[in-house]
Amino acid sequence: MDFYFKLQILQFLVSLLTCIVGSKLFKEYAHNKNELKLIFTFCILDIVTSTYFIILYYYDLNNLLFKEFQSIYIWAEIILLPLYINKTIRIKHSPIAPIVFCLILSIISLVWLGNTYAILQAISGIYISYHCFVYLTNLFKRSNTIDLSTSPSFWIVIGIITCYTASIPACLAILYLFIVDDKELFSVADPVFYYFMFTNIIMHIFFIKAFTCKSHQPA
Amino acid sequence: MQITPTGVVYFTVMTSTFVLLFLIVFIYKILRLYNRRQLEYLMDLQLLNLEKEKEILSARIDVQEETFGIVAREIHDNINQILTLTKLNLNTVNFNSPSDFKNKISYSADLITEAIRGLTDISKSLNTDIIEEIGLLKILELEIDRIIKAKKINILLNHSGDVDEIIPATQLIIFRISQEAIRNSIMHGNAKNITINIFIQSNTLQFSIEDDGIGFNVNHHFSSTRNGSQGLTNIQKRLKIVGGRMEISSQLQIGTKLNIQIPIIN
Repeated sequence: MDFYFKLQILQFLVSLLTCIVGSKLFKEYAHNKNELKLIFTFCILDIVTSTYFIILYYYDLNNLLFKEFQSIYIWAEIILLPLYINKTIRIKHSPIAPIVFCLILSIISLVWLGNTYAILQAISGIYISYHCFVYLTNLFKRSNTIDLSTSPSFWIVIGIITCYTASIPACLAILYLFIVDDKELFSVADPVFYYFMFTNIIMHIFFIKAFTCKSHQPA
Repeated sequence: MQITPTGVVYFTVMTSTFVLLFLIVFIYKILRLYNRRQLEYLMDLQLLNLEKEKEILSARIDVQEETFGIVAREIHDNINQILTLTKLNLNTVNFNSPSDFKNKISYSADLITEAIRGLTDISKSLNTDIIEEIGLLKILELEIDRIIKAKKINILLNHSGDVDEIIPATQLIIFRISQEAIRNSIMHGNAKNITINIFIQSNTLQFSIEDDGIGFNVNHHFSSTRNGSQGLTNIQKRLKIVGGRMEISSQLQIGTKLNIQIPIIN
């Protein structure tokens, strides 16, 4: 069992744990249930994706439908995560804008690089990070303050920042690999993917922390 | 410059690690900054609470002073007069005339009974424990009966909802406001008919007093600082204690209506 497979298994387990913890404590989130449903959906999608990647790797299915799954996953994160962040800070956010954004970038990516997700993945980190920083700015703009250590939305946003902002260089590097389309480069690019999976695991740990906050106060 | 595959990977991993470290520092700084802001906010909140408590305390003292004034006035205008009259009556008793002696002693006894009744009324209206014992509605009914007997006017009390379930402190304030409003209607408004409505609607006590008195110019009343406008100021002070608000409407020669809303804290 190589390192990639171990990491993939770990990512699956952490995602599963996040979902179990979230579903156990879901009934306690009376005031922000609707917002947390978005994160919960995202976590379930994470489990499905990592399960699929594990099956692909284990049965050596030669990346069957890999690109399609990757695209669905990136679409989901671009639509769900900013929607969650904006809902917690009560900013009106239409899901139409990110859908149009994803559609346009997917078409450009398909025409230019032959797949629907390369550009989208590179841009997603920047797009989601922007929304996270809007959340943090909003924290300081408000007249009242909240206890951050017991605020689920804060820990969720910190998890998202850790994963997506820290992955921006990795995502841009993957885009570069697609642009130069160098087979030799792809063969040594594994650490970049490892890094992305590693930050994803950290994000789920933050999600678990968010779900287990002692008091579930509004954002 | 030739870009080698390992160079790209190293560069990416290093940049990412740097971003991650930067993020850790950034989040730490954000938390510290936010905590400091939270402390400042809590201190401001404490200061505000202290100021509010100070205001409430000041309002309580004002209300207390004003109550003492009313008691003093009541004793001076009513009890004192009766007792003076009793004294005069007793001073002029002719011990040689049995009939005069009997009449004056009997009259003095009546006057003393009246004085005792007056003192009992004052005591009842001052005793806050009675509110807890018999409830606001009952004490209000007793007060209305007393006023009807003394002043010969009509007072109608309408109520609905569990008014007596409200905390005694709020009930007491409502009672004092009623006393003040009725006194205003009689003394300043020369009202002959007064209607009091008390009901509870969505955690708010709705309280209104309407009279058919001479009315007054509301705008002029609130802009003037004359002593005669003390009654409504006292009501406002009392409302401040329980977080209530007041609306007043009045038409000359038609009457005045006072609407009060008080949030209920169970």
